[in-house]
Amino acid sequence: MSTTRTRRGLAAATILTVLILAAFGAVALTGCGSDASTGGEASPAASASSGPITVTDGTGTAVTMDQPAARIVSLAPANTEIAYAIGAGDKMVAGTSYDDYPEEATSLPKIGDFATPNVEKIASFEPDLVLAAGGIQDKLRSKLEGLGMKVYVVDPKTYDGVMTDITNLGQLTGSTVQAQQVADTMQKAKDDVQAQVASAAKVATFLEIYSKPLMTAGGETFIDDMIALAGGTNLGATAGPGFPTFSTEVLFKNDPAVYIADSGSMGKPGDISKRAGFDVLTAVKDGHVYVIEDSLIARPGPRLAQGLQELVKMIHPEASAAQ
Amino acid sequence: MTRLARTSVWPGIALSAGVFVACLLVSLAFGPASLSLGEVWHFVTTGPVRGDLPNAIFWQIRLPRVLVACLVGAELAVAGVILQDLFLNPLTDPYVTGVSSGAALGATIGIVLHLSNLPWTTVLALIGGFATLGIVWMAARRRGRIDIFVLLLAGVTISYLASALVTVLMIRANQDMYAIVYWLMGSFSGRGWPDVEIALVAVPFMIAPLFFAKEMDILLQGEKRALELGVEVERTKRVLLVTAGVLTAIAVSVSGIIGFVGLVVPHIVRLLVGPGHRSLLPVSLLLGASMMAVADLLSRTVIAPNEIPVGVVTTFVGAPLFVYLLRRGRKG
Amino acid sequence: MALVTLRDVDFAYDERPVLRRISFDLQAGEFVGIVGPNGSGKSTLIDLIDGLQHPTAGEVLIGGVPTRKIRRRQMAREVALVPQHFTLDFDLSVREVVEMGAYCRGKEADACADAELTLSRLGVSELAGRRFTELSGGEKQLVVLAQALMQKAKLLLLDEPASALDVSHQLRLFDLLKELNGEGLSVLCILHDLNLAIHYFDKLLVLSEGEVAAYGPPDEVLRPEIVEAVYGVRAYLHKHAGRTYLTFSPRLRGDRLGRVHLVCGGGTGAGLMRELVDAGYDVSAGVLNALDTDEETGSELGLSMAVEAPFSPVGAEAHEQNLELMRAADLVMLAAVPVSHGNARNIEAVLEAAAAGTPVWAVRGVLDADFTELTGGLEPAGVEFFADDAAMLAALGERSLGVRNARETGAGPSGPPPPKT
Repeated sequence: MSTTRTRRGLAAATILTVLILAAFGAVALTGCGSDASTGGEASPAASASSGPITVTDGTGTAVTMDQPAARIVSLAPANTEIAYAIGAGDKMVAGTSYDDYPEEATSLPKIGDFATPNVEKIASFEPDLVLAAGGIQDKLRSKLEGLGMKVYVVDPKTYDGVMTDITNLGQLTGSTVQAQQVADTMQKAKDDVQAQVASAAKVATFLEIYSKPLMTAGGETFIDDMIALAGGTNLGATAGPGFPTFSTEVLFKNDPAVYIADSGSMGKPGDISKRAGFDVLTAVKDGHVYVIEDSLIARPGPRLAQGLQELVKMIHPEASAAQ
Repeated sequence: MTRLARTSVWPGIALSAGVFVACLLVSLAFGPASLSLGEVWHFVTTGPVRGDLPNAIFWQIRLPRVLVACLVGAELAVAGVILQDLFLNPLTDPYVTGVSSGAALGATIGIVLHLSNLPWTTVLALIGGFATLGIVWMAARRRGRIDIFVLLLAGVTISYLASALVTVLMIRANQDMYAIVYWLMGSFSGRGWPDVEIALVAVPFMIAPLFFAKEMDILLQGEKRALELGVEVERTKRVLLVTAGVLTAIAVSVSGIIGFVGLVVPHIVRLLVGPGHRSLLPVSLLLGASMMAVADLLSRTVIAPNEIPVGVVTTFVGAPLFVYLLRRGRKG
Repeated sequence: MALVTLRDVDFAYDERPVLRRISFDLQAGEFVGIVGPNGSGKSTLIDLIDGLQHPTAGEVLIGGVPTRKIRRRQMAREVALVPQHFTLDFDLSVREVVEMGAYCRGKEADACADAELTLSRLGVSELAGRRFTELSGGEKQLVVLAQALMQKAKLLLLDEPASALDVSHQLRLFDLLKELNGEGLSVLCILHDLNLAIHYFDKLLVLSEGEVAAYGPPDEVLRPEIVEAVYGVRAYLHKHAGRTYLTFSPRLRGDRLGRVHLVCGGGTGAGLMRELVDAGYDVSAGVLNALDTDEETGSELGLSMAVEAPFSPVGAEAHEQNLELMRAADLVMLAAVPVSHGNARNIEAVLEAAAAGTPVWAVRGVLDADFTELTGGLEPAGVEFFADDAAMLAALGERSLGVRNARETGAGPSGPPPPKT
């Protein structure tokens, strides 16, 4: 080991360390800079502001805004849809790369994707309200609030919960009227569906989220709630909350009347009736195998109304046909 | 040191065959769909019947899954034996050649491209596995010889590289993250007859090493001594490495990356019947199959209808067994 | 046709040459040893003969066929190798290890019975059931030998097989090899112990720095001058009870300490001779009678000597030779030899040397056993006296530089050194 080599190595390491520290410093400084400019911005006079607005979000945390939000960043496609639906679309400054509805959302600047949002990037848009999703995004809350942003987490466990989120966001954005309209539409869909299936017996239903391994929507999810509303019994609920894996044997043993596969974000299910052994299932034999668009039932937003109506057509085709 | 078989190989093989049959029967008889033993026996005798649901549970869901588990367990165990004795390193598992990471990358690409789930993921995994084997092979060739040490280094390097690429893909296409992670964790869920067919391709590769049992024994003294005693070392190494690579690629393509079995089963078997390959190979095959079948049984039954990832179960089943045998071995 | 032929073989590891222009033949039935210093290429030579390496130039032929063309299995039937080091970390029994040797013989081998037989031939049949990893180094060596013998090859190559063995096992091993050779097995064995080499082998191949320094019967090939040239140590041949032995003394090459001529006889000089030689001096002696013990010692040590016929007084020729030797010396030493008529001329020679300016030292005892009057003239001639051999040697140790310098600077007589009181 020659001394010149060690010296060169040390020099390289030192330079590298200095560069990295400098880079961090630069980023930190710009972060602080944007922070300073967020606080004092005046909100547009588009909606009446009459004192602080407080709502409770999906995690049970109180979110208070002194003025209605003027710059909104969404961290999930569902939240983006809600924002546009309630008329706050003009306040959207950035969304995720998966936002595909409505059409206008696709041209929004992007903060990255769903699972790994970049705090610096979010901050660079200088939002006053950030619409986050549940689960992995929870950790971001403290960081974003520390930079002066308000965070509202959308994480509903029921269909009604989605409606509550929509009206809450209406308040936070000063779009209470339009938000209420959306909620009313959703409520109507719910009422209609419930009326359709009121007298029908519950139909055993299985909703497949992914096939290999077999995954389903479990209890305490709004999907589970929607299946119940549509007059079905969600077989997946027996496997626990959230999105558990499910045993194919138990699926067969229970032989649900309706088999619905989710298609879209996690891929396409392929031809289910052709799967090995599936020809023996009641759902396959009776032709009650359906594919549903992922964005209609997996996004906690206004289009769940549509999803709910789709579900009832699949679970109680006779009831909805009668309409 | 007590051993089950000293001079003859048959006691060990017979015993492990018995264990295998027992594990197989138990795996077929039990499951989350709680079929009675009478029903199971009925299905076995009547064969697959169309339109009969319980029959379909047995013939279309449970039986192929158990068979895949047995085959994969056997493949990994035999690959483990080969690689541990070629590398003369007790810490070697079948994934050390990088084949598994290449297969994982192939499967990840399949998942990310949303190719209609089923056969494509497996096919791409196979391609990934074989491609990696080829790369590592070429890297290790030196003057017409295969340098085992370089092979190991190349395998480890490719493993890291492929894993990094998988991670990048997971993050970029992160709505598929769950699917990729589940695939990587290893599972027999949803494995049916097509997977059995793929896994069966490996059977000749599990039998081939038996023809090299003597050579493998002699190689335990090192490559130089083996050459001195008349073994065509390079040819033997080539055959064995390809065999191990194929076995691993097929196993991983079918079921993801299941750890522990390939590493530990050879050691367990050595403690039971010794390092002579005439019994080490067949007994490892049978014991690997047995262990995997039992692990899969537990993974699909214990918290039904949920499933525990099978790799978790293999570790929890294998580790205490291994420790017990190690302690017994020392005292004996 | 020779069993093994090497023709102009060169071998290098990457760029580093190990063997150069090696040519030699081994005939079937021969019992040949390979000796040489560490790093002289002995193990590489064995590897070349066994086809484990191939020469970078030249040819290695087994039974006339180049090793490159011989498949491993076939090679193992012709040539068996007992390596110096071997590893096995697995739990195999001795029997299993020995049986591996029969691999190359394929189906025809009756491996089981052969293994027992071979082990008992080596006198270690009790090891058969034991675990190989539990054996001592020497026991393992014998087991590996048994394994090699199972190959039933024509040629047995051994790389320092005795290194891990105690004396009795060493002898037993070589006796066994000799026996096997008597039954037709050709043996080529690397060993370090030159005395064992002389004793057991018909021929020895001496390797030095990658080249053949000598090849032939031991007494031709292990002459002291060859040993010295190859190993860099001083070697002496001794004959005792019909056997030849070599002993060694360290001698650093290139150091010229000087030359001492010793006048002695009747055993008075033997000790001095050995001490001087061990210390690294060139020693000559004279005039000594043949059969005198000092003459025998001197001849064993390979000294230049002026010798006279037994029991005869010193003649003119021997005297002249003596004078020449003294002229060539840096120092003349006179031991406490009894002086009588027969060797009086030696004293004359000493006096001449003193007069010519060569330093002369003597042991005082020489004055006492003088049956002539000649020694009286020593002191006046400037001879330095010492109490005994030890004192004289000690003085030499202190003043050795003076001896060399005097020679090199060609200092002429500048007067005799003051006598020691």
